[in-house]
Amino acid sequence: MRALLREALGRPALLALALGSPLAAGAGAVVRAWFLARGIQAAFLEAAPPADLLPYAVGAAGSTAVLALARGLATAGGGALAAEVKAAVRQRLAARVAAAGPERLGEPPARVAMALSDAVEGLDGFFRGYLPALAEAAAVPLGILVLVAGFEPLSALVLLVTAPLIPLFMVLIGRWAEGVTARQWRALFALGAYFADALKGMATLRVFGAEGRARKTLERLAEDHRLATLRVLRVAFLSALVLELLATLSTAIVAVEVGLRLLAGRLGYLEAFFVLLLAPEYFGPLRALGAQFHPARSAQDAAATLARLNAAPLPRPAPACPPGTPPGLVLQGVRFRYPRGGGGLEGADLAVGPGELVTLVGPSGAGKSTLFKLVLGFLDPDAGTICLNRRPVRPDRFAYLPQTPFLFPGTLRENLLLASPQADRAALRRALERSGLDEVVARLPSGLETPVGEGGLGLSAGERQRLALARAFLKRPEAVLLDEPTAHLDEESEARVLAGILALRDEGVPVLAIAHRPALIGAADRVVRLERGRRLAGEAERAV
Amino acid sequence: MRSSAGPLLGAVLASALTVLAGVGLMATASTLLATAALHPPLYRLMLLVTGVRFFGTSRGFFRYLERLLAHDATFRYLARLRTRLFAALIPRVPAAARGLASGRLQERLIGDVGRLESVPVRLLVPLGAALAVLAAVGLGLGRLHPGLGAVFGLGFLVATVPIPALGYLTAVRLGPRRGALSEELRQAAGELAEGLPELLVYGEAGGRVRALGELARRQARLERQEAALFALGEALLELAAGAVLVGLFWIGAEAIRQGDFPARWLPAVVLSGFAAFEAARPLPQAGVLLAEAGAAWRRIGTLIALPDPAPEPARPRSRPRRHDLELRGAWVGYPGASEAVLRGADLALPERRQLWLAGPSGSGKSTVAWTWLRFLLPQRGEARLGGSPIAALEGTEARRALVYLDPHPVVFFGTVRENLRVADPEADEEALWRALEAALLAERVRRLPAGLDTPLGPGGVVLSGGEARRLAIARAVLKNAPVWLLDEPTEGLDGSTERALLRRLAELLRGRSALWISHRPLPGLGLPRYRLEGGRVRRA
Ligand SMILES: Nc1ncnc2c1ncn2[C@@H]1O[C@H](COP(=O)(O)OP(=O)(O)O)[C@@H](O)[C@H]1O
Ligand SMILES: Nc1ncnc2c1ncn2[C@@H]1O[C@H](COP(=O)(O)OP(=O)(O)O)[C@@H](O)[C@H]1O
Ligand SMILES: [Mg+2]
Repeated sequence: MRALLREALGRPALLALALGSPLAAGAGAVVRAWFLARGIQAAFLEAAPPADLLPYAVGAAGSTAVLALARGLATAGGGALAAEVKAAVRQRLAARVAAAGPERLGEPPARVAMALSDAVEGLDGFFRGYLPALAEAAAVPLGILVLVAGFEPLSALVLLVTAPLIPLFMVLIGRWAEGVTARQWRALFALGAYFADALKGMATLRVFGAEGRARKTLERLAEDHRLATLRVLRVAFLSALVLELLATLSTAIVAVEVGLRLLAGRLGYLEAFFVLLLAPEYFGPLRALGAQFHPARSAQDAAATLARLNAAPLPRPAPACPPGTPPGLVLQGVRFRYPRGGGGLEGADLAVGPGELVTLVGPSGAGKSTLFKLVLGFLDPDAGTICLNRRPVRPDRFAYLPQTPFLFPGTLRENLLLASPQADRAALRRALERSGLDEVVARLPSGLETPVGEGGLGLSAGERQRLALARAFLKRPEAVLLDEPTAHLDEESEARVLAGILALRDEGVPVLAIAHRPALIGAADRVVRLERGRRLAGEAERAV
Repeated sequence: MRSSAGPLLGAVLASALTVLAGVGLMATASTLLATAALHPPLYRLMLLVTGVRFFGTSRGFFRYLERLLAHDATFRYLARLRTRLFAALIPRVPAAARGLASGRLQERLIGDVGRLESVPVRLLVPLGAALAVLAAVGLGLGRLHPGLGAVFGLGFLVATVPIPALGYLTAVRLGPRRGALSEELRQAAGELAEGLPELLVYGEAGGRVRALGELARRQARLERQEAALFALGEALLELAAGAVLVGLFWIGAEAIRQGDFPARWLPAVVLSGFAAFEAARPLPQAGVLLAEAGAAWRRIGTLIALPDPAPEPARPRSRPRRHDLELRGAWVGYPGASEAVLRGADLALPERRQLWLAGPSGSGKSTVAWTWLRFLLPQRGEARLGGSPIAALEGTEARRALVYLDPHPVVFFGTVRENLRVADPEADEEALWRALEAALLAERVRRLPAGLDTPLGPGGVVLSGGEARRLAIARAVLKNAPVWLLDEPTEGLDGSTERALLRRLAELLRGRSALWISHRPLPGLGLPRYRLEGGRVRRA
């Protein structure tokens, strides 16, 4: 929460507008109440002629204008503050995510994406609703209380006693109702989940002739949910009753109390009526604040998520490479341990020379992917050095094929050119040939202009693989890392991809590949086995 | 299904009474003060004191009733909306609205249902209540003095029509841009987070961060504009309320000078008109909701209006006894797509025979299965089941002899038992376990915390891809159909699981017909191979 406030303090003008305007509106309402009370007193008790009433009417109209302007400014200011803060928070978080890289964030990518979109959006209610309401509730009732105390202490006492009850009850009841309704939300969630699943599984339902039954189930779930929820709400909405009761009864008590004292001659009409007019203005902001309880809570949760991501560690500066390091990709004494779970690598030494193809084999969990993450600089080694051509590594010096390559929504061409925006047609053709993507493209009516990714053509795993390979081939990297490049491919395509990898190697690029399939292992210059003991063994184990 | 009209009307009434209780409170309280100022004997005040107390307490009860009834109406409306929509979509999924089976289209549909769901509480109830209050207070004031009724009615109408219209127009004008922008932003966030390894490796991360920042700034600009327009509406509402207040005061003062009504009623006249404005406060938001709900309604409408890809026959033939399947020069395409997927395809699956249909992804292998399942019909040529054209059979009848394994097996929200009983609602305990044994899943289910009654899916046990596929096989076993259509049965499985599952399926399918759809080889089955390419099938 403190970080959020700091964000708001960075925009003092908007903050002042969002917090100051509700106060001005409160003041406008009080002044208008006075003009009105005075005007009605003049018309009713003094039977004043229109000319004498005019100043009060003008005063009430003028204060209305101020009030209206202030309310408008409050809405505009709160909205602008929320908009600006969200944009700034988003920008900063995106920069942090990119700087930290995929492995240091400590959250799966889908959650990071959600944080960037939904969690940031969750801050909206805090700045737009809660903060202005808080300012108004803190200042306006207090001002009215002091004012009333000045001429009618007894009523001030009634107001003072009842006021804290409202937010108190709202929070108490709100908490309690939250717990009760949370259970109902789960029921509603079940209903929604069933609906979504039934749509998703419609083919299956229809195959089993179960579509009619599913419809009935949907109906029954909805009716069950309605009955169960209403049972709960009957109790939960007592909160609405209590709150309404508190606010209106307090006004009623004030009215009766001033009425009786007015009758007894202990109070003038103007004072009594003025107090009555002020009572709703007094309770209004308190009730409005209570209504912001929920948005404020969810903003708090969102802020916690954002703070966690914004604290993700950044890459540590890598130590310089020891003199005499050979060219190519060289790992010396690299150790790494995951903070959680204890998996990792212990003392990995490995060299992949220029023009060499090394395959990395080993059982799952041996640390192959971890080694790739270290080489790419997505993780920092606890000890040891990783050098590429005698300089510490950085992600953008590699071409990399992850296990599940990501397709960006856009055309095939756009996805390819990501690797090398200025690639000419010859380079593009070569990359297509080497990866075997040319076959896929030839089948498509729009060729390279076919949209892919979400909303585009659904490529099969093998086609994705070939696209990602083409991307890797298109870049002119200093070294290439391939995580199971021939997974998902049929034998024909596998052979073509293999030829492509060998051609790349023959151009003098060091290639390190994780492999399970025999063809790729057989083609390697050297096979390195990563053991379960997380120790890199068999440095020179020859391919058979 | 219960109609929501009753509770809705009740909620409107309760909401209006809530506001009117507030009006009554201010009116009786101010009359109490005005009367007391004239120092009558105490008993003259007692009725007013009672009135103040009555309104002070009754308001809470009305509010309570309103909330309860409005929610009842919402739930009824929601139930109706969901089931109707579902019923309308049944013939259209998966062949006409493929996107609904997964992904963004479904997300949008569910979001749209959510937007429509709040229509009763946030649109109809406030609107109805505002009109009721307008009528009640307007008539009451008008009876005292026509000028009072006119001033109130005019001010209140401004608050109920042009101001919500401003909200509506703002939402209609800026809403789509805002929706598109937040969709872009969501996408940019997804690309940055999910594609981060690639972006870092290809040196594009910085550019994406800048692009996302630019989108965020554009969104902020739009939101500021939106807030400014809403602010205008709010200020106008406040002005209308103030104008009514001053107007009632001015005309009321004149009226008591004329002796139209007793002078001590003046405060009540002024305050009741003002208190009635509470009913107008939710209306600017209602205008926004109206715009959003309208857009949601239109989107759902286009979905429901999609053509039925396999209309039921007017006079259906009875189900054939045999179940050999055939395509004869079949041209099959999807509604809305320009080119047919199958273009004169011939393929026969005689009884108790099995074959492998290969072909690149997108060539139309699943389309063959869907045609036989009567999810869609050939535009030219014919699809036959047991010698009868499939078009002449009822869909449920045609599917009775067939079972289909989806390439993405679906686990429904519910228990293991409920998931299996999709295939056969009457299946007893023993049959369920037999099916699980057959699908090699019994061991796993026995180890689950509540066995067959363990909930699956979010909040329950999440099955791995291989397990979900075995669950689907168990379901198919329960149906005990003579013909199996297996669509990419090994998709997403690793090597050893793949081999074990194929062996098991081969055992299960002995003596039945089966169409094995796979773009990859199916080791160990030794099936005759057909290849689908260019919309036609040839023996390979
Ligand atoms: N993000 C992580 N946090 C904690 N432990 C991890 C993480 N990723 C991998 N591990 C653990 O590190 C070890 C090596 O994993 P990994 O490099 O993925 O192996 P491989 O790629 O050879 O299958 C395993 O024990 C695994 O459980
Ligand atoms: N519901 C649909 N609406 C429009 N086009 C579709 C639909 N379903 C499939 N298609 C298109 O039909 C073609 C064949 O799809 P499909 O039969 O699923 O191929 P396969 O199973 O061989 O991968 C593809 O181009 C696909 O995009
Ligand atoms: Mg398919």
